[in-house]
Formats: sequence, structure tokens, C-alpha cells
Amino acid sequence: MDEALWRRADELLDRALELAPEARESFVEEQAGGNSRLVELVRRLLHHVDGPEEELAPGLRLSASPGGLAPIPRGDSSCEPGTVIGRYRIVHELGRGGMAVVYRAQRVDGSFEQEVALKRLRAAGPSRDVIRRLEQERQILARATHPDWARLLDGGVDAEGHPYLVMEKVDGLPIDEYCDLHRRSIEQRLEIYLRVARAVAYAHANLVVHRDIKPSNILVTAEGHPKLLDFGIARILADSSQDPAEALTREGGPMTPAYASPEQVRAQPVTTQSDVYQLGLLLYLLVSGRTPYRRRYDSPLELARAISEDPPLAPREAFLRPRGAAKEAGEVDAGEVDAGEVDAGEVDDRDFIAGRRGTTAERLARQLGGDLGAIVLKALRKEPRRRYASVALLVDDLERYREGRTVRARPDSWAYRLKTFVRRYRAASLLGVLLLLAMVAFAVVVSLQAQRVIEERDRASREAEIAQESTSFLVDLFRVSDPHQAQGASITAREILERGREGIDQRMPQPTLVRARLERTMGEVYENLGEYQAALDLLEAAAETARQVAGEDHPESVEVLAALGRVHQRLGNYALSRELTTQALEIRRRQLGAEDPEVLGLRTNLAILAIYSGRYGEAEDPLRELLEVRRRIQGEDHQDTLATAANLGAALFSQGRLEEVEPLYREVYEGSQRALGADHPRTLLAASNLGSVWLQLEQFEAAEPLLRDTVRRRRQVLGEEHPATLSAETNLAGLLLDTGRLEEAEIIYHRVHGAYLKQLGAEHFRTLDSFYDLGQVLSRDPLRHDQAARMLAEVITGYRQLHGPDHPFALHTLHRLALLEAERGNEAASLAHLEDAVSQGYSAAELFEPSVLEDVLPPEVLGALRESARRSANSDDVAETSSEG
Amino acid sequence: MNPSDEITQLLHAFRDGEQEAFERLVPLVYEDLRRIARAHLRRGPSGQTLGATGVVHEAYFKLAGSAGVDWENRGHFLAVAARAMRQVIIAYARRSCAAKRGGDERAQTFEEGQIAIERQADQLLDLERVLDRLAAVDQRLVQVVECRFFAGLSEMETAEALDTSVRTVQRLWARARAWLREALAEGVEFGG
Repeated sequence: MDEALWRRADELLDRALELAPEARESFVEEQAGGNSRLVELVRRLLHHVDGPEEELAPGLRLSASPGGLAPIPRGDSSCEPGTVIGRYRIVHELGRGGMAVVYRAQRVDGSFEQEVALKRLRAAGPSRDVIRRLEQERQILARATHPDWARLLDGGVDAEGHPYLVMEKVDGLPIDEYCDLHRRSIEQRLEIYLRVARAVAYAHANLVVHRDIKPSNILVTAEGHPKLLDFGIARILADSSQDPAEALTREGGPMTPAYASPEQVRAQPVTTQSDVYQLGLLLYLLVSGRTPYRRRYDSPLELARAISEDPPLAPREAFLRPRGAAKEAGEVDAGEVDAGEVDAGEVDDRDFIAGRRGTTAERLARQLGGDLGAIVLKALRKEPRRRYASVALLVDDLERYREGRTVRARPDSWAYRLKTFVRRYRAASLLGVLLLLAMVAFAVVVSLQAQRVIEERDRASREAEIAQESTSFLVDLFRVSDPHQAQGASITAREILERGREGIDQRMPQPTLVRARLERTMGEVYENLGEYQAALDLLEAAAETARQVAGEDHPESVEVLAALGRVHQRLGNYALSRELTTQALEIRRRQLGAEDPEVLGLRTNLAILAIYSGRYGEAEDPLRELLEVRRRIQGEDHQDTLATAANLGAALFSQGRLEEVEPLYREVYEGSQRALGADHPRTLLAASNLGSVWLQLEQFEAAEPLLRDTVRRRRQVLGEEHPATLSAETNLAGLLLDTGRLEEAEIIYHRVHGAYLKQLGAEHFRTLDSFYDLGQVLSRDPLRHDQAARMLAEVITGYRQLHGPDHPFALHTLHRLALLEAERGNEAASLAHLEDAVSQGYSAAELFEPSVLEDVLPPEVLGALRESARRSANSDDVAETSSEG
Repeated sequence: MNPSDEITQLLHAFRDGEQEAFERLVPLVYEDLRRIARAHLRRGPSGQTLGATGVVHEAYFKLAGSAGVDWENRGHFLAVAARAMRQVIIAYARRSCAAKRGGDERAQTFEEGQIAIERQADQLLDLERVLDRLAAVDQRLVQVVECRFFAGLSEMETAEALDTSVRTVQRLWARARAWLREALAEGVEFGG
């Protein structure tokens, strides 16, 4: 019944609100029909309506403008002339923005008169953090100055609690106005622009990011010298603001909407790359007289969306499009058509723009179309890492352009445009896929070699012919339980295998070639079943038998050697594996020559070993060479050619070069389908690999059915706990993780980890990989950060014991742990892990990317770490080059 | 079903007026909002508050950009996001209340930087309780609070989300504030 009353009251309230305030009460009394409770309630409600706007309810503050909860109160911040702030007296106001008011001011205590610009923030009562940061920035700026910067002279917090900054006062014109006024040519504009860019580069070298580069912050004096204003200030302003997105929506905030970089718009951490973008935008404007996006937007959100998503128009295109001409056939896609722009009519200002540059529209268009346009667009790419890596490189490319040399900037490839950037987060768990890929390719190559060895042996001796016949009989018997042969039949022949193993000793007590071959074949079957320890026992027995009977150079001995190398590889004993494989290779190369298919196989295996050991670069060249030889000798669609293509893909994969991998894997998948059919384990493998590349390229819709199908078929063909099944499940879990289905991912990782733990023990790399994956899932959940951190620490210890202290997996995981600790606010632990990784030569690209580290670690500390990582990366390059030469 | 297909389907149902579809869309954006909100809070200096507008806008870029999801119009997204944002903020408030009372040290460390939510945690939980009752008066009053207060949307964006005019939003907003003050200030249930 109360609810009925409420609804009536609300209805009356709604109608009363349409009336003038003074007419409301009488209206309510009239309508209430003598219901005094109702009248009383509505009266109270009306009274509440007149309450303070900024409070939703007592104690619950909000802003009437967009901005969410509890904005920082902004007092009236204007200062009368004569007001003294610190050691300065206000002369008059120069201008005001959303964040601050700028005054002309004079020192009060100085013996000489120094005119300064004093910027007083509107927000009062900054937190200790802001003040500390202010102090920090001031110290940095005091240490590093540049003749082309307007110097930051002083700063503090005034009596009313408003932070203020004192800067050198510059008399000049904004750079774009200056250039237009003086009709500067493109060449002259580049000259002055390069000076600006070098001043920014100098700032970066001193760990200062500008963050708000725009024409009005670059004044050119009457003498033609550019001066950059507000260095390091945007950051202070941003810190005192409520949040970056809010700042964005306010004109004159720490960043200016039209000049914001995509990462600023997305409220992602801002680095020197943001300055590269803004410099690109400045260059765009200076040379073309236009901006790269539409001129008008319905809202800041629209503009932000364009900055974040729309590809910038090429400067030439933008220039040629008269202002107001939103539509031009074939040139503009539907999303860009702007009705609001059409009514302006076509204003052809091209001649005007060209005239301001001392040239004709035609010539200017030509100039904009070439390398200059490519340079501008490279600086403007959406992803920071695809822009120039530094301002220095942008400067360098412009200088190349001016000198008529080849520039580095090239238009995006269509493959790139098709798909955006690679995500590195999951690199480590996908290494699992890579391992599997290499493993099966290896197995197939070797078993094909086995066929050839048999043929050769047949020709060589009659004894061997008999041996082969009897062996074949047994081998066929066993092969039933080899899932690569059984294809879908349940694996029940394990018992036969066990019996056969016992039977060898009884039936063939003497060492013979037949016995050696039997032992090896059984070893290989165990290997294919994923039981590596049993495989190793048999293969070692086979090696001993073969050596006794036929000597070390006999094909059977070499074969066993290769098989042993392979199994050791699977067990993670890389050094031993490398030694065994190299031995086998040297014998066969001597006997058969460098381009014999078997020799090619062994060379392939060595390249794969390099991948296992984390020396990806070392694998690439041999594999490219092998692929070329195989294509020539064996043909495009040959199994071995496809296997090598897959391995090359794996080497590129682990270096994150996915755009190059995708066509290779697609080729392998299609080739395998044609040659082997859809259910063959190798086709399944190729499918799984292609699926995981799609996953990495974030083509989830394509990847998911492929990965699910692979899991299903593998379970059926190989069994639930086969390494290949587990590997496929790991990929699927990765996809689920990436698409936010954390629960299902966690369940799978748990199962996979449990299976590896049982089969391979806690120290095995696969067990560690799966533990890493599990740790990654948990680190998505703040409540389980502790657990995740413990797991990652364990994984690092494991990797280091297994592969050595500086293996890429260990260092990568250290980096992940450092990020996690940073998220938990453990500054010291985060720093310790990073230092550990960097001291071991860690210099992966992601270390240099914006991350949570920026928020936790002092900029100098992080900068110093990055610097030493960069140095070790450079020294690696030098070492590699010299060892090749 | 693929998550983006699922969103697209639910959106169609939502557009056709199925309230249930709306309820099911909320958890799909909740996780994104929560993560983005956390990132915002982490970035800010201590004493920072949650900039809900930024969170919602960022989530929009993220989801609108994700392949295969067709949000049709931004209003749909904003309405769903506003509800999810309310849940995110209330979840934070609950946790910080729990932390205060239970002395859960870790939670407090984690919540560092959420002073505004922490400071207002009790009032936020009161608000949450009262909002349920407000729904009995008019569901749109709750929605306008979600949009304006929790998601920090402007009047125009709120109008877009509720598929109505700015003027209506202004009236709804005034009514909602009046009711909430009535309930919260007096510490009594609506109307008595």
C-alpha cells in the first residue's frame, strides 16, 4: 500500500516539476484530494529538489557535470593584480584553461626585474603525492635545461592551497601561425620543426615527457627561435586532476583533446611514444595545413573515438580534400560521412594553404604524397610500438628525407592493416605449442628416414633383409598400438607392447641387428605414447646392441643415436640431445653428403634444438636454407618440406613474428590436408598450430572451432593424457583466457597441470609451463594475487634449475612476476625481480612498453633499468654480428 | 557460443524490449569495467577517486572495437555499462567496509587509492539498499541514478542510454534525487 502512495507521490512530483516553482505547492494540494500524507510527502520531495546540486544525498557527493564521484572542488581561482604568490606579484591575467590560469608576474624580491609567466592550478588542496611529484619534476627540470625550452623557474603551493608554477615568459607566436604569417616554405618549416623535435629528444634523454605538444605550446620568437612551453607540466597537471579521461573532456586540460594521442584517449599510460605521436600531428599540421581526422565532432567522445580508432588520412589526401567536402566518391567510407559538415559548403582553401607555403597546390600535393607523407603517418600510428621508436629516429628519418636518401617509413602492409598488433602476454604458454610442433615434425622426419635406412640396408646385405622381414612382422604387431597408426581405435595394445618387451630377452638373448631394431622400434612406440622414460630404456639398450653388432657407423647405430637425441630433447636434456644429434649428423654427412634427405633431417633437428634452447635467431637461417633445399629437391607439397616450413614457422613464432608465421602455417595445414586427410595426427597438429596463430592474432572466431576440434580429435585418437592432447587443451585454454572465460580456462589448466605433474614430475618444463599458465589465470583475480605470485616464483626457480639462470622463459616469468608485484603495490619486490632479470641480460621489447611499472617505480629507477637492458640488447647484437662475420 | 555472438544476440533481444536480455548483458561488461576501474584506481595518486566516466568510455572503446560485437547504438551500451558500473562501485564499497570491520589487511592494501569510495562506503551501501526500493516507484529513476551518479554520464548521454529526451532526463534526475534524499537524509523508509 505504501508503494501505491509512493507512485502517486512520484507522479504528482513529476507533474509539479513542469510548473513554475511558486505554483507547485498549490497544484499538489489541489490534486491530492485531501490526502494529507500524500501532500506532506510531495511537499518534502519538492523541498529536496531544491537541495544542493552536487550532492546526491547527504554525504554522497557527485558532480553535476560528467565526472563521476566526488570531484575535487574547484574554487574561484582568479587573482587580482598585485596579489603576491610566493616571491611573485601578479601583473595581470594572460589566459586561462580548464586546469589553470596563467598570469604575467614579477619577482618581488629580486634586484632586477624579471618578467615571468605564473601558472596557478585551479584545483586547491593537492595530495601529498602531487606535491611530491611536483618537486620531483622540478628537480629534473632544474638539472636538465635546453636553450629551446622555456625554463621552469619555480613552483610551490600558495597560501590558499593552489599549486603554482613559474616559467620563463616567452614573447612569440604559436609555431603554425608564425610559419603561415612569414610564408615559410616546407623546407623552412622542416628546419624549425626539427629544432623542436631535437629539443623534445633532449627532454626524453633526461626522462622528461612533454605529453602536451601542440602549436600553442611552441612559440617562435621574432628572431625565429622556437621555444617549447610547459615541459614536464602536463604530468603534474594530470596528477592533480581526477582522472585522465575527465581531463580529456575539458578544454585546456593537461592534454588538449584534438592533440591527444590514442593512448591518452584510452587513458593508458603515457610515455615518450606519446610525444612521437604529437610531434607527428604537429608535422602534419605544419606541412599540410590540415588535421588527420574529421574537422567536426558531435562530442569529445566522438573525437576520442576517431583518435583511437580511425586511420588518419594521408596528408596529401587531407590537403586535397577541400574543407567542407565530406564526401568524395570512393574516398570516404560510410563511417566518415558527417552531415554536420556538409552545410558549410565547399570551401576550397587549397590555394590559400599552398600560398602560405610559397608554392602551388599542385606542387604541395606532390610533396606531401611521397616519403614526407609516409614519415608523418609512421609517427601517427595507433600503437605506440609501431611508431618511430624514439624522437631521435623521427628526426633521423626527416633528415634522410631532406638529403634525398631512403627513409625508414614505409606504408603499412595489407597484412598488417588486416590485423592489428601481436599480443605478447601469452607468449610463454604458446611456447608449449611450439615445442609440440617441433616434436612431432621431428618424429615424422625421423620415421621417414627409418624407411630409407631399411631400404638401403636391404640392398646392402641379405642378413639384414631377413632381419627386416622378421622385424617388420613384430613392428606391425606393435604398430597397432601406436596411435599414429591406429587413428581413432582405442589404445589397448599397450599390454602387447609390455609382453613384447619382456619377450625380447627370452626369444633373442643374443645381440643381433634384429634385436637392436626391435628395441628401437619399441622405444619409438613408447615415445609416441609419450612415455619417454620407457622409450629411453629401450633405446639405450638398442644403442648398445647395435654398437656391439655393427659398429658406430652402421646406419642402425646412427638411427638409434638420432632417436636418443630426440627423446632427450623431449625430456628437456638439450645439451645431451645436441651432442647425440650432432654425432649422428657428422657420420651421415660423411657417408651421404650435405643434401641427402636424411642429412637434411638431422640438420633440421639441430635447428629445432636451437629453438628449444631459446636461441631462436640461431634456428632461423638454417631452417630457411633447409626449406629452400627441400623445396628444390623434394617439392613443395612433400612431407619433409611441410615439416620444415612448420619448424621455420615455429622459430618465427617464438620471436613473435606472427604475420610471417600465418602464411607458413596455413600452407602446412592445407598441404597436410591434401596429402594425409583431415584425421591424420599431422594434419591435426597443423590445425592446432594454425589455430594458435589465429589466437595470437586475435582472430578468435576462426581459432576457437579449430582448437576445440583439435582437442576433441586428439582425445579420441591419442587419449586424454597424451602430451599432444594436453598441448591442444592448453591452446584452447589460452583462447578462453583471452576472451574472458576465466573459469573454463582455469579448469583446463588445472587438469593439464595435474596430468603433467603426474607423468613428468614437478621439474619438467611442461609441468612448469602449465604452472605458469595457471599462475597467469590466478593473477587476473586480485583476491588470489598472493597465490599467483607464489606460483610464478616457483616457476622461475624451476626454469632456472632446468635451463640455467638466464633462460628467456625464466626472465620472461620474472618480468610477469614484477608486474604482478607492482599491481599488488610491492614496489621493492617488483624492483628486485626486474633487476634480477635485467642483470641476466633481459631486454625483451615489452620491458620498454608502458605498464603498471611506471606507476610504481620512480621514473629514474625504471629509466636506469631500461637503459642497462638496452645496453645489453645492443651488446648482444654486436656479439651476434661478429660471430656471424 | 562465442562471446561476441552472445552479446550481439542479447543486444537484439534488448532492443526488442526484453528486460531479461538487459540483465544478462550486465555481467558481460562487468568484468571489463572492473578491470578498467582497477587500472584507473591504480594509476591515480592516493586520494584519487574513481573516475567513472573515464571507465565507462574506455570500456566502450574496448568493446565497441572488439570484433563481431554490434552494439547497434551507444545508448544500449551506456545503459548496460551504467548498471555494471553500479555493481563495480558497490562491490568496492562492500569490500572496503568488510576490510574496515574485519581488519583484512590485504584488502586494504589492495584498495589503496580508492579513498573516495572508501570514505563514502557506508553511504554507498545505504544508497544501494534504497535503490532497490526506488525501483518500486519507477524503474527509470534507478536507471537515471546509475547513469548520472555511478557511470558519471552527462545528461545527453543519459538521454541516449534511456532512449528519451534530455528534458525527461532532467526531470527524472530531479525526482530521483528528491526520493533518495527523502530516504537517506531522514533515515526513514520512503514516505513513512
